[in-house]
Amino acid sequence: MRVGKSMRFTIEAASAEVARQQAEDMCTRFLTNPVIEDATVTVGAS
Amino acid sequence: MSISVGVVSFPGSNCEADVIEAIDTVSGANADILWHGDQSIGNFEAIVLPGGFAHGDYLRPGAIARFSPVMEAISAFAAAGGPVLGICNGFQVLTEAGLLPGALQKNAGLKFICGPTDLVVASTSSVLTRTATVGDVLTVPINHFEGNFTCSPETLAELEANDQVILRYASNPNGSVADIAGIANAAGNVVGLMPHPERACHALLGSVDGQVLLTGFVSGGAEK
Repeated sequence: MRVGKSMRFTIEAASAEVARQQAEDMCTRFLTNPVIEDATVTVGAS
Repeated sequence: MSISVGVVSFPGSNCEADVIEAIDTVSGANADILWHGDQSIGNFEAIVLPGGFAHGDYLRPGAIARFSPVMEAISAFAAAGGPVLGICNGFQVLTEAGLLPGALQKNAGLKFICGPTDLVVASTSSVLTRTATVGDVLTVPINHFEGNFTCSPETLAELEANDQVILRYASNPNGSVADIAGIANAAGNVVGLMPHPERACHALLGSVDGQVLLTGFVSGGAEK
């Protein structure tokens, strides 16, 4: 069984790549515990 | 020898007074509150992260508490060999902070569990178990919803090889891998356990088996 959460952020950044990096940082340092959880980041339309 | 013990109070901690009382009862060591917002641990010579619901356990237990200002000072203290003990929610904070490996998941069975459990001392190579004896059975209460210890097979092999599993459940109540109730870091100076030794320090509480653990912890100095 898998249980998940979906979180949506609005990030102001110089580029989509910078925004992705910020979101990935938040995922690995805070929003998920890498020992027990996985995260995938998708950058939507700006 | 008596040392000065700082017991961290996060917003939502609820066992700090019990820990201070227990340390005072078993050892006469000087224990006092250390506020989570402090930037330094002052003159404390040992640190306890008590049970409760630090920062409401929002997101995950310990996920926000690891960013409390005092945690940076505690990480430096731990890296320098200082004794650090996490009990229950404090154990969860230590894993989130990366001071101990693994993670605590929801109990197998998805029930909050509360009651006395039998713990078998598995290693005395830690500041918590150094005055206990391997094979001793200690009756200590548990009180948690997320106490199911898990880690990668590689981490588990390392924990076992380095004698870092310090306490195991005699009868696994929560699904923890390898019946693990408590672990230490490789140096033995940072320890975490889900059971509450502070609630087993007086005959009136039904058990005094927590005394050997807290006595060992406050007996001073780092391990190994």
